[in-house]
Amino acid sequence: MIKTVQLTKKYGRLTALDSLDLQVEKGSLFGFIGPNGAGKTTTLRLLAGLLEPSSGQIWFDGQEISHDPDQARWQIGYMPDFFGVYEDMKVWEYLDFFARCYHLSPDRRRRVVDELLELVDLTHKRDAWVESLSRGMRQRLCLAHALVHDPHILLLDEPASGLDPRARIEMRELLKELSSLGKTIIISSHILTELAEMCDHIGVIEKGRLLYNGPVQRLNRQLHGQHQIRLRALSPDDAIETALKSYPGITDALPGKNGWEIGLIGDDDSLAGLLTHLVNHAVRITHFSETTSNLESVFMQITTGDVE
Amino acid sequence: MKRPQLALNPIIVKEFRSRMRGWRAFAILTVYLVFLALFSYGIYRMMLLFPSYGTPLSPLIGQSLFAAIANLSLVFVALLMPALTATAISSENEKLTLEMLQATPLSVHAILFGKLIASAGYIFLLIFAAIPLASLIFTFGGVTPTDLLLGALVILTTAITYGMIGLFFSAWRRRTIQALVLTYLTILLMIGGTYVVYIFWGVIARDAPPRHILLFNPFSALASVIATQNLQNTPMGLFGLLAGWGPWAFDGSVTLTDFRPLWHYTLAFYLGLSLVLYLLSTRFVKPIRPWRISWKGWGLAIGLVVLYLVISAAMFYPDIKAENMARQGIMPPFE
Repeated sequence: MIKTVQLTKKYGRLTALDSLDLQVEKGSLFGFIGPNGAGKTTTLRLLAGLLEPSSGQIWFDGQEISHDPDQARWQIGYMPDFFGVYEDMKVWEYLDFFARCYHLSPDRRRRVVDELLELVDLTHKRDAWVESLSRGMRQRLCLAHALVHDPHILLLDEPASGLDPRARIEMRELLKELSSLGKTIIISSHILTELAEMCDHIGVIEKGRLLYNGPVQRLNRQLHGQHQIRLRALSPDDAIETALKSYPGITDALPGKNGWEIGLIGDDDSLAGLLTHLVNHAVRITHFSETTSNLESVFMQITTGDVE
Repeated sequence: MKRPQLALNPIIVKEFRSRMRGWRAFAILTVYLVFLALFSYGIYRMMLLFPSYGTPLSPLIGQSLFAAIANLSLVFVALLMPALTATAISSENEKLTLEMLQATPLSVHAILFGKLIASAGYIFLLIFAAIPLASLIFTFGGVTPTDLLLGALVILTTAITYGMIGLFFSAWRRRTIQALVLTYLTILLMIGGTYVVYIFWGVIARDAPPRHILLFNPFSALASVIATQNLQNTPMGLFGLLAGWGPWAFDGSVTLTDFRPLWHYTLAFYLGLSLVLYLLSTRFVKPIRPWRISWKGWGLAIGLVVLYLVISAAMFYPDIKAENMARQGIMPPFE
């Protein structure tokens, strides 16, 4: 588990990070969201041991590392937002170099390089020059470099920035795969939809202050006081509307291009009850999910937007 | 996580992979050797024209070739080494790879040492590649293997020191242009500046200036390896002047070997300078708490400096004192 206690970073009079109390559970995929200049990169650089906190503490798995960043370097893999690559190296040499930095034995280095190239889908580029890689491939290579020592914590600063939609999807799938391997991943981004689809928890930061820290759905509910549900069904709209109107707690139900947008006040039992209710009313459901698609508006509501 | 012993420094591996690949490294080496060979041949032809006044010409040719090859190598070192190291840290910073390095467990010592050795390694390759050419000197005589080794020692020490100056500015300024300008300016002052001070001192004092002004200058140090005996009527007299012997190199009033040669002082100074610059550079490469040093660290640093000063004073002060007295004609040196 990653925990920060009253973590503060000041540059002269400017407070880049103000008393950050963050908690990221082991094995979770945590999205760190905020406008540009909100303090996301500062937080990640503090966690990576590249900045010294002005005050406060950083804990990894119950061990305080604020005063021993060298120890933390073995536990984390860090991918900066703006990164360079050694263009005059071959792809395998690039990973081999970082594997040497982590003192991996020659046998293990060879194995790790091959495994990572496979993981990030660059095996076919093994002997290519780094300078010949596309932006998306470089992002994946940079991600691979952060994994050479098999860290259990990954700090990824805007890993999908500048990628085309296809590369974004590939990156998202890759991160989900890493998360399924039990790694604790913190991803920063200022694009909400990017994180909403893959993160189980998010932290919203603005002006160096943490405004929210918790599950994505809870944020939605906290702000709207209700579940936001998307429903797609094969039944006619009037049959669906009739079924919805007869269920207590429904606040609004609007058919749209992507299905029905439904508001429901109530707990998880009430949510499960709605599904049963619809099935009992012979609604032929093809899709029923709690939606986070309106996260952009949530974000706008909780941040004032004057950092940028 | 146990650190394996005798693992190659990753920075050295990376730098050599990058530097020795392609045509550039070998093109520089070829140009250097061809130039050195042509230059040596030119010196040889020139020496054949030199009036020898009955003394054997062959040793003079050997000495001249040695002086030419050694000085040319030193010029290469003074020009090339800073260019390699002054970009070492700053280019990592500009390419946005420094932070990625700092996020690994690689120590600042591994980074700095790796960069220095990788740069010096290439320079050493240039120097060692010239050995077959330099060995031709022995066919003419006039130069001992010790002279050759001492010459190489001065050149290699200069390479390390100038490399360290470049590395220091690169780590401090983090901008390649600034690091290059500051490094070459410092080297210009060490070479040209010392001669200017030396000449002006002589003009103002109307006397031979103390040769220790020239200890900062590697060309003077090298000249002191070459000019070990009184050199009247030989082309080597120039090196007597460069080594700061002044009239002593010619008038025969003292035996030069009675005094400590300048390269002793230069090497000691360069060693101390490199050490200080290295310690300062580690502070600039360390990502956090660069100036928070433990009491043990301070103790070690101060201890090293004091030890260096005490040893230097014990080694050099009596010699400087005796030399000054001899210069003033108070007593003959080393009676």
